[in-house]
Amino acid sequence: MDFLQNLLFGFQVVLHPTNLFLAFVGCVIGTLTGVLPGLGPSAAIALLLPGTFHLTPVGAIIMLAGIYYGAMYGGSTTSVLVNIPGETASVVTCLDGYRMACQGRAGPALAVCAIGSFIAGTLSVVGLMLMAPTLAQVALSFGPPEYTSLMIVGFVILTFLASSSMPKALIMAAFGLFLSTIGLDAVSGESRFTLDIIDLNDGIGLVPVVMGLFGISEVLLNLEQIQGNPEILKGKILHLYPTREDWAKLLPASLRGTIVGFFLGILPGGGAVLSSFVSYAIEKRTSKYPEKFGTGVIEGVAAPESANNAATGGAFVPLLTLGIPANIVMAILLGAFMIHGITPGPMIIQEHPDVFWGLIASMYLGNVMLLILNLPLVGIWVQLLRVPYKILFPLILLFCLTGVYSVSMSRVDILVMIIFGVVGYVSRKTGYEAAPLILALVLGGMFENSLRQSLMMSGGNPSIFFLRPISFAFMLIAIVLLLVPVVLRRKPVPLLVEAR
Amino acid sequence: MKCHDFTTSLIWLLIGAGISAWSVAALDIGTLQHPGPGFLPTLCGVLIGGLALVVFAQARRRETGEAGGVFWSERSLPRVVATVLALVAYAFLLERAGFVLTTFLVMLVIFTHVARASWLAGILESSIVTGAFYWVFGHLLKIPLPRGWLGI
Repeated sequence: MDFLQNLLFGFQVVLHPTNLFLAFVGCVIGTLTGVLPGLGPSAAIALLLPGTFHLTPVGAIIMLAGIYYGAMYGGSTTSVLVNIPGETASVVTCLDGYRMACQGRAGPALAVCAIGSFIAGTLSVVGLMLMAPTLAQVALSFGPPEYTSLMIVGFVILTFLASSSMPKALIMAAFGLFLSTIGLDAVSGESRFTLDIIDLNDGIGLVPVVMGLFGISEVLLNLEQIQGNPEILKGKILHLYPTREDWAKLLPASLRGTIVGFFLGILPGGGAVLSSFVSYAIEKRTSKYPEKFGTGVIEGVAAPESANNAATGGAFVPLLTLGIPANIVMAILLGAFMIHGITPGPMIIQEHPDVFWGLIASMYLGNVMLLILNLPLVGIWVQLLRVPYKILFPLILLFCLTGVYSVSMSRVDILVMIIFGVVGYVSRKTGYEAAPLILALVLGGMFENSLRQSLMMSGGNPSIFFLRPISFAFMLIAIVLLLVPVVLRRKPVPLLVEAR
Repeated sequence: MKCHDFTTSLIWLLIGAGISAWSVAALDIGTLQHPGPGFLPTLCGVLIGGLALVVFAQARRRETGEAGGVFWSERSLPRVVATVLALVAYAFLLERAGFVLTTFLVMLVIFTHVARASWLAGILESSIVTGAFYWVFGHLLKIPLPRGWLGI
């Protein structure tokens, strides 16, 4: 009954007209960024972060979360209609979704995306609601060593899943950790690596780094290949709703995708991209007609679309219970929570029940809004693809510039953003991924504190991380993951390779 | 990406060494019992340097004579450089010349030189974009944008 009461409380929070409006705005902007190629959810959340400063914490988080799962919905539209994924988690949807569109079944393909996403989104919220309070109880027994080793696992998992080489991803994580130490030391108050620039005393801001690494660098990369607009499917999209036969295939595939997506989403470093690839591969492997995958089968659309949406719900579990972001978007959301004076972790449910339950209720409501936005309004979203990139990219650049300046009123932050824009551009071209850097930058302060506390607790003995059972389990996972590529001498993700 | 791996690993090696040296010289590393402010940065520097050596070694082992690919094409480089320079100019001009003038000028350069619009189209697009952003950020969101030389 507690759950129901809490959920009702959440609905009371979210049904406040302002919060309801913010959830709607978040869903619309999310769908918009999902539809527009070259502007992913991380960049969109970073761009809009300054705009939320004037809002209440619960309103801000509801809107930013709406952007995240809205982008997951929107990303599928371009995958189906133009074979261009709006964001990375929709890459797999292109395989069968676009084929369906070519066969004149664009309507049902889009409907399958929306319905699959709706089922997964709703079920994953139920999962989050059931799991989060229990996990939060467990997390209350965590001390500094457990937190240190948990964060180490987070770094290692993210680098393990990196599409480039693991040492390169580890370099980026270590560099992110170093960046997090810039500014005044929390313990001694000593200034570190600030070059006597006063603006750097509070450390390097998350917003300029994220906008640089994702917003600016994305534009710089796209500038190399400005082309005309993609060929958009001509004619009206008719017969939107799936047939009875489609439904029979859609529901089981969607449920399987949801389960895979939710649990992969929970893992640090997991998230929407991985779960969509894995669920497609599982669907293909267990299908009676695997050879038809890639030619336009319903399951090939329903499973990955469900998985990437379920992963969004799953990714909130470690963020809200442990304060550990599972992926890059969650890392930015963690930053947003902190900017609004809320530290996600086991205490959030007790200290900020309005934020926790309000967020959960807003996700239920957001799923309904997105279903309404995506099915009947699909024509409008398609029109957006006609906005030429030559018009779009100067707007993205100006958004980044004005957004960063409005956070701190400091030109140092603009310069930091430009520097990281160039760093992101060069590092992507040379196979170094930005995600581990951001995760390390966000978690760096927490990691340093818990590392130093653990060492002081043990009198300088690092074996403390191996002598406490929970910490030992985390360290064991980290060591195994670090050794797997060395032992196998290849990237151990055959499921992904097959799905690609 | 082999060629790039050689170069980038050497750059990371230098960065790692630089971070460690700077930490050791300027900060108190402390001891394992009482880690100081320089403890984690030094550790990061060592890790970056060590991992850079691994990337270097892997690049050597993979050596099969393949090229690393073209990093910049002649067509793309000017656009990227022009954009970065325009952004840097924006950072330095903003507080002196003010939001409206800086935004208009920088957008004009980007529209005409990077997006290759005509001067007339560039002036029109820059004016609309500057006006729209000034209205949204300055009026709706009430962000105190720098006024500069024009006083607006």
